[in-house]
Amino acid sequence: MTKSKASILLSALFFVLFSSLCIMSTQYSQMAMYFPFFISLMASIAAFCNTILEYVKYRRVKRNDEAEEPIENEYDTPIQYETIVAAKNFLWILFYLIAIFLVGFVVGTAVFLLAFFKFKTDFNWLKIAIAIAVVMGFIYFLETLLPLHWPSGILFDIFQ
Amino acid sequence: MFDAAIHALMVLLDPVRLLFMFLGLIMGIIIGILPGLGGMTGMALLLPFLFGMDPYTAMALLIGMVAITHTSDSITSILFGVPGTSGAQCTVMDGYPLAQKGEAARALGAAFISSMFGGIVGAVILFVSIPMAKPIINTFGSPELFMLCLFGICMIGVFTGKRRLRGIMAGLFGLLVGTVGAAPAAPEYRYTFGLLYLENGVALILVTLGLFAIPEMIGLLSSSAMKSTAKLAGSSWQGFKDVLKNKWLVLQGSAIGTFVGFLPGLGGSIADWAAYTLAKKTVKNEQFGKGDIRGIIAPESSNNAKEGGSLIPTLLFGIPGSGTTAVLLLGFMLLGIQAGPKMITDHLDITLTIVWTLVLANIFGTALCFLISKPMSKVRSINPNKLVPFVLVIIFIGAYQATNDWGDYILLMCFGVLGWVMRDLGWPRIPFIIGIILSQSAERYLFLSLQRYEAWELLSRPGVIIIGLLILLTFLGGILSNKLKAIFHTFFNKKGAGVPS
Repeated sequence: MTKSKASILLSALFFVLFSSLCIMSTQYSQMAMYFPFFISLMASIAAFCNTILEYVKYRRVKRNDEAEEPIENEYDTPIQYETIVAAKNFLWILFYLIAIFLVGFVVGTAVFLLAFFKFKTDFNWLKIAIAIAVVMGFIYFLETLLPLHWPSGILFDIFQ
Repeated sequence: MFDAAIHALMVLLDPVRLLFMFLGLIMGIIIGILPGLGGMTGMALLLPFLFGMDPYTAMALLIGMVAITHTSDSITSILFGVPGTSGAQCTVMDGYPLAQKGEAARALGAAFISSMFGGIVGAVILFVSIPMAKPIINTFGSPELFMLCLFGICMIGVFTGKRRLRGIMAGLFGLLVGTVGAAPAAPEYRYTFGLLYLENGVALILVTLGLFAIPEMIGLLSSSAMKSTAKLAGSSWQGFKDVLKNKWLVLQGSAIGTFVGFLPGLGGSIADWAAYTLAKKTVKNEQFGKGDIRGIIAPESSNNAKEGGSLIPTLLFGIPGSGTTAVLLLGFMLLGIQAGPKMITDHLDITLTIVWTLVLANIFGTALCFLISKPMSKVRSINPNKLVPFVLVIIFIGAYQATNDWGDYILLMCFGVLGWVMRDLGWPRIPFIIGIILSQSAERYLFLSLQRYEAWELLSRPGVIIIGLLILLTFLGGILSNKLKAIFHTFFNKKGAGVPS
């Protein structure tokens, strides 16, 4: 899939979303509905026009490519490789979230840092230990200085 | 006014506030040095820590950070040939060749000093604009303020990104997300889908962190290390003398930066390229692109002056001039301050504190940049992805402070994915955030207008007509802007230089 195709798809999705929100807004009382109704209506029209315009442009570019007169199109690049790389990177963030969910913020952070530095960087054990100690110190500092809260993990909640 | 200015300076000179300003400066320097992180992401990271702070201290922290980002970004631009932020693209053009010629210290000296002067000029123009704007603001009622909100969305939507409709859609989407939760004019909840968590609305911190910080982290994880071979040779003093010798160029760049910053939607890179291009046309015997010191002075004075300019519509009208000021506005909301006309009546002291912070942060920040440039020149490689886990910890701490609910993390992830998709496909994200920020005020002003005026009375108000025409002109200006961008592309491609984005 190319970026231009993905963009048309996103635009169409926005159209569906805005139209749904527009329909939903009619269920509210008059005072609550007018602002979201008009905004979602305008957004639906903009999304519809954008989808059509992007599709027309995409077709035009494709026709020119077929006629061996390619015109410059920065979005005509495959996104598969980038998506895979980004998805892998996003998994690290997801891993951190799951670690927090299971063992709480403080322990989850230590687990995440340990795993990240071990598998993603060339840090040795000493550097990893220092990095974790610095972050733990920072968290302790914030906890004492500001009225902050951390989520407790589901495992801790079960055993308490 | 001057008494108030002196009082604001005294307030800022409190040791605790100065300490927070220095904290902001240090963070701003780090963010400026690291490519991929801009002032906006930096501000988003600081927002959760503003709870409980007094407005003066919070402003010292936020403005201190944002004021110096465009100064410190010169370090990586000149030594590594990689722009620290989007506003430093021009500096690379002549800064890196100068460093290769063994004049890195001169280039850095000129960049820091011209940035400092640019920042101060921007702050002075902001100060001067306050009494000038007062009579105009006093004539504004709720219909005009509602139209201004629409104007802000249109400007940002049209001028941010490559396609106008995408920007406008993003802005309107932001306005819709802003309506989630309790309706201001009726005892009713909207778009909550039966979830208790959404009844208080979508926390703006989560949207900002998700939409901007998470995608940048994903981007940084894929980035490779920056390498440098430049040494800090040459003389910083020579750079200082270069700036004095080209004082008119500094003023010209600062004026352009302030003006571009004042117009919502025109980002830092436009200010830089406009200053650079004009300098190229006006100076004699130019060697731009090959290591001409004037190619650093013009854009550096412009990108720092831009901050002062973008604060004018933000503070006085409540319309953010850029993504960074949109997040600043969000900071105002967290502190319980409403930006707009009240900033020069009820909160003049805060406005003047911001002006002073801009001035002091530029001076102290420049000194700090000089201090760190020497150790930085010894660094041969910077690997930004090693920093990602540390920033992620801050993001996760900040996100949970929104409502102390697991929903915070779920929303953060949702907006993170949306932000990444938008970033990857070239959809502008700034109109989205500005839409959310303006949503509540826009609805409130519309409600008040409809309550107070008849439809015809509303539409025949001169202010409404003028702003309506401005909105129309913005659409037409968008077409003109595309043509200008095409001219820029042609011009820079011919010269074999980089193309502004």
